[in-house]
Amino acid sequence: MNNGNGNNQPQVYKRIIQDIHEWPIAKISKNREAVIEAVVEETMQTILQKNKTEDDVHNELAKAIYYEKIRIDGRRWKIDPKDDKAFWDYVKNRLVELESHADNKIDEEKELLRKIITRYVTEIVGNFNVRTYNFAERFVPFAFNRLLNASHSRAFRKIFGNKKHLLRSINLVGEIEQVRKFAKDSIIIAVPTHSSNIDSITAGWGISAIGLPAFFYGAGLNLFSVRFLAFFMHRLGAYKVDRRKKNAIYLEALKVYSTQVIQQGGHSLFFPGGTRSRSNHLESNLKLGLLGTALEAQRRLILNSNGENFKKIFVVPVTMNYGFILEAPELIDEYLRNVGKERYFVPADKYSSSYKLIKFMIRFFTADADFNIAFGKCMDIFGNTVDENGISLNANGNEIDIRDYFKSKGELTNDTQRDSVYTKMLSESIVAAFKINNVAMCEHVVAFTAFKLFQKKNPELDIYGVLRIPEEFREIDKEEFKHAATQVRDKLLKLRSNGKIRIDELLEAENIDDVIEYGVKKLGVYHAKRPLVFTKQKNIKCQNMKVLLFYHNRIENYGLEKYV
Amino acid sequence: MSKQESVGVIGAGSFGTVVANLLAENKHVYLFSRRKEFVDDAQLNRKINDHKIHENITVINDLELLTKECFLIFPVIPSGSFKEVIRSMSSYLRPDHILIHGTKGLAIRNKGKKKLETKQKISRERVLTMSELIRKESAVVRVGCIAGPNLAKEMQQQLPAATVIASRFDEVIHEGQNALKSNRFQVYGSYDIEGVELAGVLKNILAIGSGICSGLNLGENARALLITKGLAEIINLSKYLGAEERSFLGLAGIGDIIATCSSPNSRNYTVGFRLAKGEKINDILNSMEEVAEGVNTIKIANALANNYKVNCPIIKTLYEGIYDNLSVDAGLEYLMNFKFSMDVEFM
Repeated sequence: MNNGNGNNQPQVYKRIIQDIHEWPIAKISKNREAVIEAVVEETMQTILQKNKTEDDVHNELAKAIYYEKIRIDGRRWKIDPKDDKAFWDYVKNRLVELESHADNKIDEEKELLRKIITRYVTEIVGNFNVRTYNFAERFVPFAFNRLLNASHSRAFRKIFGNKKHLLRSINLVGEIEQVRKFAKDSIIIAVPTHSSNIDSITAGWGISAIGLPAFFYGAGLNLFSVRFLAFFMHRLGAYKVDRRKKNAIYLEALKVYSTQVIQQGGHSLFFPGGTRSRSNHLESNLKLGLLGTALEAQRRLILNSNGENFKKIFVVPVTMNYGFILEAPELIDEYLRNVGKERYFVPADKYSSSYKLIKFMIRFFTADADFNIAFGKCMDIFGNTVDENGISLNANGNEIDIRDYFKSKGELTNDTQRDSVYTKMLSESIVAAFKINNVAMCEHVVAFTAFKLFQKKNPELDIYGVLRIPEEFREIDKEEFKHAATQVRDKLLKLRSNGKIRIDELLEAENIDDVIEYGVKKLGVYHAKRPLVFTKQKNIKCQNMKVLLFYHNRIENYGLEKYV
Repeated sequence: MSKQESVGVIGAGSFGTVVANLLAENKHVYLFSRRKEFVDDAQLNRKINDHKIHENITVINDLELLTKECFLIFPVIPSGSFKEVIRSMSSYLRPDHILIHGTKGLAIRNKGKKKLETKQKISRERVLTMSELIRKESAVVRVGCIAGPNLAKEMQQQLPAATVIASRFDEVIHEGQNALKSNRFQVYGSYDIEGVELAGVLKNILAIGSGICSGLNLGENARALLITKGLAEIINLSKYLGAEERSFLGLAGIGDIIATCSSPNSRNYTVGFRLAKGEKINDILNSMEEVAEGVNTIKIANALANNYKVNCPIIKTLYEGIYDNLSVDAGLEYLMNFKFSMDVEFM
């Protein structure tokens, strides 16, 4: 493992809190029933506050039934409870019944609302348990310890023929000490980029690997269908998020849960892109719902402490970059099909068979594929930079007292419109941080260079035309490729010196041939058809244009195209 | 005096003084000027440039005092000194301050780069609106702007008018409305702060053009042509800058264009008029008491149009007239022979 400091010694990070019982997630999750009760209660209050009249409550219930009916009529997921349809039929019939009741209608409707909320919250709330976490560590083969200590057991591997030996594969880089420091007394919100379903594991793994306690995080409900995956995700602190449930009651319950755990000091992880990046571009448009809960938690922490000695929340942008993404072909297909169109997707319940996924993960974690996790600088909940003591600073280095953000005319106030603008501002800061913390890898450089060369050679074709270039024209002369790849690599090095991007250290290899060799061999290494291969003459040939586009996209928008 | 009752105005030029007088009908006002002797004189005589100031106005020379006493502050200063002023008060400004500016200009992130030349291109990232400048130079986030047909001379005469306050924050719009509105002054709101700022800034280009029309006695048909096609140009350009088109159809766009393009009271119009009469641009600018923002705006707009390859013949001609000594006749000939295609293409 490379610690990102220029030396290749694996860095082992001690847990910042040794005793798992003392982890925030363990303390908060201790009494699941109490957690559920508190979330149900607050969700009830919030929904009733937003729906003041009897008619409003009725309409809210009717809307929920409508949306749930659409969901249930659609494709069933393995994880969906057996009584799903029965429950919602009951809710529907009950609501119809109540329409003819004159007395107590509102009370009965509230009761119905409570039942729905309780059902949702029971599904959502995570199941972190100290005993099973320990159990996992001790007994489960190919589990935590194996993953966490992968770097210890792995020998140095040959990478550049006989020239260099580097300990490779999993890179944890960036502002790791800073986040470790702040995680002791403050609350961390990690916001990673999202490319693959295994991000749920790798992000959780990355957090453990740098010695942080487990984080709360929302993982797609469909992932819990795979018992193997569900097992890990529970250990890692996952709670369930169902993207198919789009009604206001469900979304409110989710937000309340998130707000409460953060407010109680639980480190949390959101994928702010909301879903995997279909194109493999860095996320540029973030979902604000869960980010907003972090802001609300900060507001409450300040309010409840009367403004003194409140816990501060820090946001850590995390970029995750892979040389191989299992789902690349299907993701880029979805992207191309939907580019320029707004279409609602029912995410498929893809991995209900564990076998393929387990096989992939074993390979991924133990051997061949590369990935980088880069931790960006911590920022406060408004996107400001902070100094080494966590004090917020404006662009000119003046200290900012973040309590002032929640004040109007000197008083702490509750202004949801104001806070929604703050959340948007935070999302803009996260997007900017993703860009400078993105880790360019050899794989990206060869994919980018190849795709841009195809575009350059065919200026009359639009992107769809380029994707359809016949196979016999998909070869690039080795010298031409080398020249362009050198230009791209050099520009990336320059951007890195200016703090505009991070680069994987293999990209710094003295000889560009090494970069090309490594990149081509590792790019999409387990795809049925690897995107790039060498011909006998050492020219570069593309076997899959769409997947090439996918990997190329990761370093688009840095102005590199001028150099090809 | 309690904090809630005081609002601040930075800049005691003609528009700053007008804004202060409007605010003073509802609140106590601290009006800041950086000239100490001017402050003493204004406080003593209750007049600024022969215009009476409201009894609720205290003229001061102390930015720290102003930021301590006021949560709501209106910077009304030329874009050329905007950055310097915000920087000088940056350490006093907090996130709970509200700044609503009334400056119709743009700034450039220079970073030692060369000055803008004729063919030079500039990207949106290098251009700052005044609200962006406030965000960049201070901890203030609750920013807004006022823009609209607000000719200072008419407002000094207490004639009826309206303005628009744009901000992403409801609070900014409401506080601004409460502070400014009166029987003779309507205050509208908008969330499209970029659009409203850009409309207010770019319309000055048309005001200069309109002044030239008058100076050359080209008639009202020509003025209508210039304004209509000029508006299309600035809307087209603004699409690349992050603005919503519809803001150009409101008070800050059409509203302000109608006022400034037909009034000799407008500074930018006056610049155009005097250019048409053969005066040199430097002589005109040196003789003016206050800044005509449009002159600098033309330079930036031209560079933006170059960068985004937006067809802007009117802006280009005005640029060349002012900065490249293109004669008025040659410019007119160029424009009248320019091959335009369809009429309304921007919506």
